[in-house]
Amino acid sequence: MSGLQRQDLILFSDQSVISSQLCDGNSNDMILVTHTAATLPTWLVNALVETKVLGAPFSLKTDSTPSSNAQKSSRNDPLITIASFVHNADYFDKNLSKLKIGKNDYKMVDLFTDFVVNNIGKPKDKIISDILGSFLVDTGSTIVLEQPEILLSLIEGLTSDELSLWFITPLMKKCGLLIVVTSTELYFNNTPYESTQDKNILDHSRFTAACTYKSLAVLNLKPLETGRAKDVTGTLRITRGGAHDSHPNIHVVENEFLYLTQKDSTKLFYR
Amino acid sequence: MSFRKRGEVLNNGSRGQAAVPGRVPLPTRGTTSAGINRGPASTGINRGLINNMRSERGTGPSAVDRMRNLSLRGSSPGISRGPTSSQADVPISSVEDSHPGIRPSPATSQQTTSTGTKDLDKLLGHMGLPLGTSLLMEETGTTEFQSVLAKIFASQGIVHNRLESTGSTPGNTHVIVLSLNQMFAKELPGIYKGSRRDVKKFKIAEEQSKVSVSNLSESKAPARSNDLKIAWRYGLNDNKPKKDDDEVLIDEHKNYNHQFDITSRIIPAPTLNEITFISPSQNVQAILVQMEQTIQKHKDKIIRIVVPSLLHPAMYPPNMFKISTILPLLHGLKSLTKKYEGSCVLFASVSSDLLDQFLLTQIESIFDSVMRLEPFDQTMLQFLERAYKSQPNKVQHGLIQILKLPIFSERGEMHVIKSEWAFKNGRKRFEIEEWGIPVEDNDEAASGDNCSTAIGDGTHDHSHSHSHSLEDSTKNTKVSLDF
Repeated sequence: MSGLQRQDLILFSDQSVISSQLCDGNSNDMILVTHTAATLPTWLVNALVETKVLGAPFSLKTDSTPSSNAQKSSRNDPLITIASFVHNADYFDKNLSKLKIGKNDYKMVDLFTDFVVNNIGKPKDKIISDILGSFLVDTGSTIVLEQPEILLSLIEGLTSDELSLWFITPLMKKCGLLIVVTSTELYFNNTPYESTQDKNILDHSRFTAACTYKSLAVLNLKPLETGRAKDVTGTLRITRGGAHDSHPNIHVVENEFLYLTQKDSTKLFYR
Repeated sequence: MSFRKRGEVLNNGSRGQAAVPGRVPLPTRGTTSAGINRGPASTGINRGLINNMRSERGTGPSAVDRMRNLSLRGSSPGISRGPTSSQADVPISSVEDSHPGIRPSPATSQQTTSTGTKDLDKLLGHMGLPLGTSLLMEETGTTEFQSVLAKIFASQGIVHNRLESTGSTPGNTHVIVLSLNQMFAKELPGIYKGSRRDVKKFKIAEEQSKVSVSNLSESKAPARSNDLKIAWRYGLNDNKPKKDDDEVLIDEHKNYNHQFDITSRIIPAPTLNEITFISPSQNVQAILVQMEQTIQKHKDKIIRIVVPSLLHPAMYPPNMFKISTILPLLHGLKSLTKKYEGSCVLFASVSSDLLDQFLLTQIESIFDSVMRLEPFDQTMLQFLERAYKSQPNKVQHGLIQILKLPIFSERGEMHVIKSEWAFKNGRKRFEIEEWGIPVEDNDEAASGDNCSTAIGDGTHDHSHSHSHSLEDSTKNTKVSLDF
């Protein structure tokens, strides 16, 4: 990998990671980040949060440092809300503080700590409405939602359609950009899920498909097909989602990168 | 798959402190203070101070409590409500750095505790399991190696607890077992005390150290000179300092992990002050509430949560096999482990053949680290026994696959490592070593019983035994590579 040149992350045709046209208050968009158990997306989520807070993903850039180029928003409210079903607030505090993003720069909604104890036995619509209630309406803001599909397992009887209609769609309307992080581990096993009649498997597949159709862009992280390598962690594939034509002035730049994550740094390379 | 030389043990064959018989005897309650004082002077002093501070607790907030309050974590925001959310404001406990069962991870400096298996500690990349993280040990087939690891994990906690537990002090570790099997406590392995010969020697040395007329008359000469009467010159070394640098390093964390003998039992058996059983047959909320109450009751201790044989049909009610029941339970357990991340670790073992692939994938997604034991089938074991005919101790029992490693995988690093490590379980220890396919001698290959039968699909082709020896060896090589 030493011979290859590092690349900067670009998602949109205006050379941006999150275009300024996305959170202008007139549209509600979604970006989908998919990953496997072997390639967890911590660094990518951090980079997207960094882009929103500091203006660019400095942790992925070679030529810039946040101290010199960072341009924080002049808004008093945080531009970004992070909600996670699998990590607590401490986890994000630690990760983002390394990128010089303070606790005041983002809002955290902890959907992980004591979620089961507090919600088990409640009606599913009540649980969903309680979760939705913890997000404020702000069409200029961004929400990062980590692993909402786990609700299909945690709430008895919840279907993928209900999750999409009751939770994802209303949440999209509460913000300018919703970034959904979801696992696609299901598709990486050898089991032929296409022919299955298992309700759980079908619900998970349908949910991922529904999110893909609603998305402007899909960022997919997966390991190399050849297995583990010392100098490559996996591939980042950027593709258009089902709603890619919702903004006429910009389009998603489809691309595929190799990336290497070591300790707390990630480098991108062209494939 | 690697083709390295066979049989290189992870720790280069050295068993460290615990391997030396008698060096780390299981301290009984009466001898704990002696065990503590054996460490470095500063540590001993600190621990003594902490014990003194602990003894003051009855009269009001002690210095330890005040210090602990300085490192509190904030309450969890979000939608957490109800009685437990108010408990989130309660200080999240963290254990003193002087705890003999924790040490900083060499990779991330995070506080880490031992799984009780030294090789597994190394494989995890942190010399143990970092506090606040969880490990799932899967096993394919019908063998029970995972339950051995679960018992050793629990046993290590009991041994740590007894290092500091006396009548007045409460100990430093508590084990919570989510299982119906109350016999689990009585089946925990005891510390390995050496081979029979070593035990005998230790007993003799113990007898000789006692004050008696005969011992006093013999005590003028060093014991070693009795063994080496002819080579008297060796006796000159007796007065030299025995510790080298490596030993000093080991001494720094000498009670961090121990070597367990799975044929022995820990004596005395753990009491209710050391181990708590929670039944998995209750509803999920009751299990989680009971678990949190136990953690809060032992808030100054390291809490080892053990879930042996998760979803074993004999212990778990049928409704637990529903994804909407088992996932909330595991999510709740993980939440507790993170909520009390200064003191909690979670170890679960599961027989993966009992579960369908989707459920297993969902369970794996909950844990911070996942490993899979894949025991060899009978034909492979026969092949290994033939290859290691002269060294039967080298026969491995299966492969250990790494699917996730704590902290590293969460950062986004790719740590799926398959077919690179093999394990073998013995009376003395559970060893993990680099896997390499052993080479069968040509003479043996030509003798007719070739390894292609051993590691193939199990069907024996009689025509092979009549074929040319060169052809046989070529086939052997081919099969080995394919495997």
